[in-house]
Amino acid sequence: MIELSNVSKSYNKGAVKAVDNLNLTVRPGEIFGFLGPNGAGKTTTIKMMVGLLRSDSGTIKINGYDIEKEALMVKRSISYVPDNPDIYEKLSGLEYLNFLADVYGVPAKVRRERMERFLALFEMTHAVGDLIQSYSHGMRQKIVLIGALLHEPDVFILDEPMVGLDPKSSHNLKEYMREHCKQGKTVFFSTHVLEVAEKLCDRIGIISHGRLIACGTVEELKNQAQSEGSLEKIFLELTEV
Amino acid sequence: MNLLNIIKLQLNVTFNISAFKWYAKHDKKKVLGALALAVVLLVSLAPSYYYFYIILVKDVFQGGYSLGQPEFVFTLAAVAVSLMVLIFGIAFVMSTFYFSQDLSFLIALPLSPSEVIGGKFATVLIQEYLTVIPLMLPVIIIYGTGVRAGLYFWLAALIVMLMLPVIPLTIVSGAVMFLMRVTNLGKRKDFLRIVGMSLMIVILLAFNYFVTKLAPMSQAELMNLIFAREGLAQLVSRYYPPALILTRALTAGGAAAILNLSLFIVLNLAGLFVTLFLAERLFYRGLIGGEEISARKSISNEQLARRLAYSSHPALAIAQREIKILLRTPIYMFNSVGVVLIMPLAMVVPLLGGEAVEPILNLLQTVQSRVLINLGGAAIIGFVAAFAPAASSSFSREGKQFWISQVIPVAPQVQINGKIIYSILLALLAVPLVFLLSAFVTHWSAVELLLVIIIGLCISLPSITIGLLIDLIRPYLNWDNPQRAIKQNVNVVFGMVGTMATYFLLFQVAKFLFMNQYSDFMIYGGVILSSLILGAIPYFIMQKIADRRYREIISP
Repeated sequence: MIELSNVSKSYNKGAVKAVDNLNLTVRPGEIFGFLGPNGAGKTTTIKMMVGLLRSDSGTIKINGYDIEKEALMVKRSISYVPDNPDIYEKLSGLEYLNFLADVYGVPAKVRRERMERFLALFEMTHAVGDLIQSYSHGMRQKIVLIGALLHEPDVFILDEPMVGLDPKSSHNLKEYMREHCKQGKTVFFSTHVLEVAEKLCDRIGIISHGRLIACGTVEELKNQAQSEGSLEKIFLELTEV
Repeated sequence: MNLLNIIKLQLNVTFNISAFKWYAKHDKKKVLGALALAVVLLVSLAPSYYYFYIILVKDVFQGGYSLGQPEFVFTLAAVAVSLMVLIFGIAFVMSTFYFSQDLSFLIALPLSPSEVIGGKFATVLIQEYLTVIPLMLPVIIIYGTGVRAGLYFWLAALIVMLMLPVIPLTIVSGAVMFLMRVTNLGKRKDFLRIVGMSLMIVILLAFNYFVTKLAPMSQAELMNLIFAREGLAQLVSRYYPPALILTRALTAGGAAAILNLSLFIVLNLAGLFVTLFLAERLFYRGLIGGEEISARKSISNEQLARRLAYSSHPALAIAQREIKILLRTPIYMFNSVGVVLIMPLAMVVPLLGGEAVEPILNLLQTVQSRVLINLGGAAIIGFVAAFAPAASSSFSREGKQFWISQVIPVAPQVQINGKIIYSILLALLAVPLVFLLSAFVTHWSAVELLLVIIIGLCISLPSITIGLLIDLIRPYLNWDNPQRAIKQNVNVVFGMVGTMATYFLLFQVAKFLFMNQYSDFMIYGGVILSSLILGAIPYFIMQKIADRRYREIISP
């Protein structure tokens, strides 16, 4: 469960409003797609949700915990995959995963089973013993994803997760997201790939100039835009200034 | 033309010129903050700069002057500064030439290797001025005013000062390019490079040792040389021969001075030419392919099971992460481990050659009080902790990966404990030095050795917590090559200044207890207690501000 109430964030002493009075609720068991043009405020919103940025005003609650007041509880219940897989290049994939398992408190027995499963799912078993510096962008993305899944988070927050993934991994990730939500967990992700959002998401939010300009199922968005076309057409119509 | 553009770009990036201009327009507070920080840095360094350096230069000048050899101060300073550039330049050059993040961008441009290296060399050179000018300028001014030098001197001195780091840097550049070329070998290359860098220092020290050994002198010969014209300069410049040329370029007068100045300039230009020539031959071959690895080796389920058989407490997981990254990053390893272990050797080796070490050993053995010897041993561990910039660059080194520390569900306080564990482990690196000292000089008993190590670790604690606190307050995360996180990080300087202040206090405590004839037990207890208190204050401040800082820091 994700609840954002009146969240605002500006840069340069208020000169640039990155996020403007954002209100949003994502329910358990829901896959939520967060769309918007470049610079619309998607990454800023996500960074505030995971505690990497502080909002100027408003409240952010994840699973009922306030990110300002109960940050550790929030962090325990979420997983975050950033848009750029900047991780420790001098650790091997296995050491990185083991580090995350340690800090998320995944018991030794459980971590082995999960690691084997996710490494096989993303076809990373062959490379997990190598240093991350030898990985391609896509492989780094996959190891970040595996790391984020190890503690089976209640809320899975991803910023542009499909970028750099090969088609098979992308497919597997989408399948996992669906499976994850069936267990009553929440997935929130930003993307520019509108087809993915259209096919995968239960609901979609569109942000432009920091404001949520539309939110709902694809059908609801069509009604709102008074358009019968694809999500791409709706998106272009809604985000046109 | 390309070269000039590259130099301009590199200087802009290195000194954040565009960013500075942008902030000057949009965020004056940030610019003023940076300037205030620079002022604080200068003010905090000024007293030691004056008392330890300017007065020393004046004394050396006076000493030389009274022997009729005022030029000696030049030779000595030039030798010292050049050797410093040689030793510290190794990691600096390697990091700038090979580990900068802009390389993948530069290589793809239609530039020759010598143009890329030319640009990088210029930025290293200009950054070297930040240490060379403060060291050479007082020498020039004290000598120039002392002998009432004419216009030629001042002009030539400016040229010599600006060229001084060029020859050592060309030597280092050539050696580093060669090392990177021959060690560009798959998985083991990081390890080979650490060994290679250490080997360079060893060669340098061996050279110094043999220079002194090769020309043993009787007392009479030494006296003759000291009183001969330019005698002292000739004696000292054996460690770095170009120093004699530049001394003569400034002080010989008339045609001899101009001739030596020309020779010095030609040597510098030749060095530059050779560097650019080597760049064409070696640079890309040492750089490209560095990220390639041979066939990947799959991990079997049994191996996976073995490696995942145990879990660690989060603080230990943090400490392990720090240690692994340190061990596998040649620049970190060299700067925090290599230099710390090599510096004591660098100081001792020339002495060994000069046979001056015996009187010092004799003196040490005549010190009656074991308390002083034991505290001295502990101080070695303390100084290793102070000079290994492990704690004071701990947050900064996380760089663009700091987001991971911010999102993991481990309280910042626990993460700090992990960093303390790691820093203490690094301080333990001094233990082999202590054992060596014990074997050859102090002959400590097992109990004394244990005592020395325990007190040493206690003394290290304030150094670690002060360093961490400073780095937590303003971490430098947005760096583009690892050298900048550890060596060009003012937090490291502030950490050392803070540590020296606490060590001064500890010294006063020990001195007070010793002078007032307290028991050995009281002296040890007093030092340990004071160390723990001085270490605990920054620790508790960190515990207090950690949550807020982890929320406020914006990961790049």
